[in-house]
Amino acid sequence: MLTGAKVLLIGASGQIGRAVARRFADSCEIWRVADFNGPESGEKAGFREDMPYSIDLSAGRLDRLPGDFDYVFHFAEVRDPYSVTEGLEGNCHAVARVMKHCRKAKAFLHLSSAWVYKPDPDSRRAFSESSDIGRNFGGQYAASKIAGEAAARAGSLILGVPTVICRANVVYGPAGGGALDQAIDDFVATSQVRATAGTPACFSPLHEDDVADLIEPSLALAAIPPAIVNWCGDEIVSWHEIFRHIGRVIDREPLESGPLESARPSCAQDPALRRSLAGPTRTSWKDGVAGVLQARHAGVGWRGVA
Amino acid sequence: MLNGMKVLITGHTGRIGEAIAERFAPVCDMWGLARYTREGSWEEAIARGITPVRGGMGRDSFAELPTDFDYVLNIAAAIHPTTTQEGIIDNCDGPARLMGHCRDAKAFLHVSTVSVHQYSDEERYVYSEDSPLGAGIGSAYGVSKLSGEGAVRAGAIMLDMPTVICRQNVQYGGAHPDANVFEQVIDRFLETGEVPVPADRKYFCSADYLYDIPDWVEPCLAYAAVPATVVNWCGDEAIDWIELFDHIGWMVGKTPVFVKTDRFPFPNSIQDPSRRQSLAGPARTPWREGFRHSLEMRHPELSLRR
Repeated sequence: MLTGAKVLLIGASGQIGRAVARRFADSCEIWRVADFNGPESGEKAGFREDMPYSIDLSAGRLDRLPGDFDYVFHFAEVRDPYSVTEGLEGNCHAVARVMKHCRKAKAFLHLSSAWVYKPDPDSRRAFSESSDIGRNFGGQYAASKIAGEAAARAGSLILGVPTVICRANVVYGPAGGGALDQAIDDFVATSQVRATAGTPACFSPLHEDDVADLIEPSLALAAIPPAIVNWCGDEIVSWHEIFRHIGRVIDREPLESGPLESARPSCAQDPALRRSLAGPTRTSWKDGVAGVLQARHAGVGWRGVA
Repeated sequence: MLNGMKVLITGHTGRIGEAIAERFAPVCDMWGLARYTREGSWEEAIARGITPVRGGMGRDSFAELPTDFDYVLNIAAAIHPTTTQEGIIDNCDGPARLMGHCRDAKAFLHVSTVSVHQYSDEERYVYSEDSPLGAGIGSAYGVSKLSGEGAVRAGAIMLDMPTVICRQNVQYGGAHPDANVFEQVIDRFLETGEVPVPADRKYFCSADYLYDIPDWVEPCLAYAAVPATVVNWCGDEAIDWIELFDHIGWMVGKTPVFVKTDRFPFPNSIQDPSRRQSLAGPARTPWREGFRHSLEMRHPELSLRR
């Protein structure tokens, strides 16, 4: 599907963007765009010289790019908007600007978040694509991502671009950068784990290599109005389970500590639709975290598989 | 501004839409888009000078609807969606499809709601246009309207169409056959003497008088821009529920019996009217006067104390 295609990848410096670019770099013409003026600059990851385009999406400087892309992957987002305006600019208006510029695309893939789902008192509840949305999380993050999904819907309907909305869970892997990766790095460095109080927070973590497998099956689902697919792993696991396991592997006792507000709230997802499109994920969470430890913490003494 | 123009109005069979249509249908070429399910509403539209076109916004064909409107007043909303997914079809996809259809309009006015905000626990919190957005009141309605704002924001950018989002408080007044929840509470008080009050808080809102709303339409259309602007549609005064019913009781000669309930139907919603005041001047009708008019219209059998 993507072989030989001209692809615009927005948000190229992030974990998902890098994993996807690695996978498809040899088989198609990928134009990578990132905003290197933002606080989470890719510069520190050493990517700048490798990036052909650095564009501030909120300023709408897309005229430097051609308009004849076959496919668009919109992974860019503002993760921690400090105001309503910043959230809407980065996570809603930017989507509209990119879609407008790429209105001739065969399909548009919009990365959303599992944290748009309405919270449930049962922390192991697995949200399906038709579950209710609506939560307050991350300041203006969840609200602006809901508005961003709406922008992708509007773009699909107004411009006639087939679109798929992918709601991602915790994505992790050797490249690092996500909430789980950060917590693993912190745990290795300090033995501390940020944990939520009360009921265990549960997730459906998705390995970065598995993300790349989902691109083509998700694009095939693109439609008007948009299709929605959960980007999550096959297993539901609690934060505590993950870190008790890592503790056993590297022979440390996790000290669960705050600040509590920095831990993500529970959000598990139903992988049924994703499995029906792309088959089971290749990486179990235990294998995945072992790979992270080997890749980023090779110096730490570890016992192999506990 | 609207004089002699070709204007599309949606939701004119509802309360706000009817008040606006009554004001402007005589001076412009007004077309209506609605389902016209209420008996007689199609004939009422024609009698009012509106050219009716039957259709739902979320899914139905717009083949019968012209495209050459000068202004679009999008007032229709599905106010009781059972799921967010259902609500998004009517309240998000609908406005997007309408914008795409009327893409040459000079301006698009979209009526939204104060319940797109993140709900504050402070009884007297004042929602400004820049207050945090969120899952609001937890209803599928609020979330689907937040999506609707995202959709019209995207439409404004993609079509370069000046757009204004008007966030409506609770309105009251008028003889419309659909009593809203506010008026149902008044009717119940007149019958039984009982008034529900929230068990856990004092309730305040910025209810607006239905017949003041048409005053705000043209000033808000003039304020439409790209990216979209936002204006609160609310009364000028914060209304204390207890004081309101003490006053209604005084007018009708009946002492209210306040009954605490855990299922009070309204979240607190004081809104900041200052932006609307700067555009359109003060609201014409103070609440004491507005509720008097409302009682006179809905209950002509009563003689009210002055």
